[in-house]
Amino acid sequence: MKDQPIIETRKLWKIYYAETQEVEAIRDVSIKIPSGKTTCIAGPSGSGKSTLLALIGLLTYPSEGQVVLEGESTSGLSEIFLTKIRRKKFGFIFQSQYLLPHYTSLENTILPLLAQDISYKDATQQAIAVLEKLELEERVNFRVRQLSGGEAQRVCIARALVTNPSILVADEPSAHIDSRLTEEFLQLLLTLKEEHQLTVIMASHDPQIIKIADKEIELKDGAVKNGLFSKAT
Amino acid sequence: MGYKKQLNLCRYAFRNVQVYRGRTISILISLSIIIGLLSAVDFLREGINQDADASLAFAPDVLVQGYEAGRLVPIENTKIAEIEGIEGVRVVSPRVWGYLSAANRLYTMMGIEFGRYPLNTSELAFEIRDGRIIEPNESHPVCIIGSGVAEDSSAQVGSWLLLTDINGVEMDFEVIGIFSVTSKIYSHDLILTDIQFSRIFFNMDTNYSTDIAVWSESNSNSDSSDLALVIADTVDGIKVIDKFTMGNLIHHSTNERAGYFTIIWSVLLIGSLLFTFTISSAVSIEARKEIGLLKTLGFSTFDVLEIRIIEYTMTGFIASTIGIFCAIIYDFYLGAPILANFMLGWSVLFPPYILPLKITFESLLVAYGIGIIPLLIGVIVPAWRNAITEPDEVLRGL
Repeated sequence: MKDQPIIETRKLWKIYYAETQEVEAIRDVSIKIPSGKTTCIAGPSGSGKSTLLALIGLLTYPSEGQVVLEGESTSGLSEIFLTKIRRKKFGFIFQSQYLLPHYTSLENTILPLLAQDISYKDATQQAIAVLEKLELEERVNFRVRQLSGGEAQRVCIARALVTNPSILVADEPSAHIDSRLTEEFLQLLLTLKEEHQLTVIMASHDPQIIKIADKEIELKDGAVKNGLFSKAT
Repeated sequence: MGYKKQLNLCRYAFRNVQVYRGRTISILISLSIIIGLLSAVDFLREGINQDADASLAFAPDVLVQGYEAGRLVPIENTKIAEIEGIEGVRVVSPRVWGYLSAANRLYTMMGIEFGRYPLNTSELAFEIRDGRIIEPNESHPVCIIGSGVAEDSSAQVGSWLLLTDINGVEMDFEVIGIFSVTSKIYSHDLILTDIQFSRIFFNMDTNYSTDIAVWSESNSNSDSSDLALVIADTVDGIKVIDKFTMGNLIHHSTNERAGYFTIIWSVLLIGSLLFTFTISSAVSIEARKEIGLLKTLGFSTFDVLEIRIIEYTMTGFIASTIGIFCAIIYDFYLGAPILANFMLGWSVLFPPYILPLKITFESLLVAYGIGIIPLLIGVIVPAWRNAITEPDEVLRGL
């Protein structure tokens, strides 16, 4: 059971329709994401990294193939079930951060908890605890636009972790921060990964991120370039 | 779904209303103006109709007027005996009345046969508030005035009013009583005197009256209408109008004027809806991305729609409340400038008074319904369109 991948994709295809044109964003991708490890999906821009991440994170339906989560296929599950799974299992860090600019750090962090049946008071305590862990206790009531780039990135991490997910999905997490902040971010991520027993899946072409990954999956033109397990795990 | 989650969704929606001030204020302003206009007209319409109903209690069951060569003329008093002979007639009493102007205000002086004219109807709530009622055969010109007239003219019991008719003839009347009635228009407009004095004041021949008031033995509207027809068939040279028809005419006139405003208001409402639809539709990238984010973070399509419904129900409720509040101030405290003249008729110079206004449950229901339901429709459609799109597509702006 220990070696069973937490997520597996089987012959996954994703086709977008741009007006009359078909775009094969993901082509016949079969990969395994090991549990408790850091996996990096690498590749140049337009190679399909973000789309694959969205498929793995159950944010979109595949055109063909399956996403298997903890041994259970998610094919055919309704939007309601996928939302429940997402709410329970996944934490997301986005390329563009997607923090609500008019809201405070605390309000942004608490957001995923509002979709759950817990009191606002408990949710607040939970969010503050995560923000404190990320050394943002002084910034709890700061609006997003008052935060530095690194602080905003940490708020994103706090929001992703506030529900205690088992899988953290990060799309180009270093896209809008410099190399020093990327280094800080990665150190923090590794620490949290150990503390929370997280499976981390990142999409990036940043060598700093690829370097710390336990496993690298390289995509080119929507297909896996190097096959499974290119890097020793 | 647990109640804690519901509270969380409400809290988020409330916070959104606060946080997106620009969006909220722009909707509030446009919608408040529309609801304010609608409510101002509606409260006034209801009030005038109510006042008209109250004033009808003062009116006889049937009014008989002289009619000659296609126009109204004073009626010969010989008709009184003819009408009295008709079956079903209870009281027949002549009236001499007309308008008089004082300080650019128009008042109505009505001369009636005190002691014979049925005044004390409970519907009208006619009550001598101060002084006494006029007795038949008073020795000198006396009058009783509405409480509104007393306020306007600062007249008290014992005061003398120097009244001038339209031809400039002056005549002194002693105020011997002040009455109050349900109708605000009558209260502020009516000066009652004995028919002998109004006949002198208006220079009316003793053989004629302005009109003849008739009461039937029955209280039903249909009997009054039937009686009016019988009188019209029996007596020559007259025109009759029954109380029921009088009421309908007043209501019809008021509702028709309110109807013009409804057309203007409808155009504004459609404009406001299009505006709301635009700012909340897919054109708003921020709103679209917010929905995508919420869905990614574990909010379902229903959660997202619920948030939007709460958010815009609250916005619509606040806008309606502001609109209603503004309408109350405009109608009740400012006297509905421009609108009041339109609703009552431009040609009539009424004494200044706070217009009769009435706020009914139905008026409030319509105001809140118009403030909330179309807004929700304008918002839910684009929100639903975004909410059913896969979050990945929404976030990536596909």
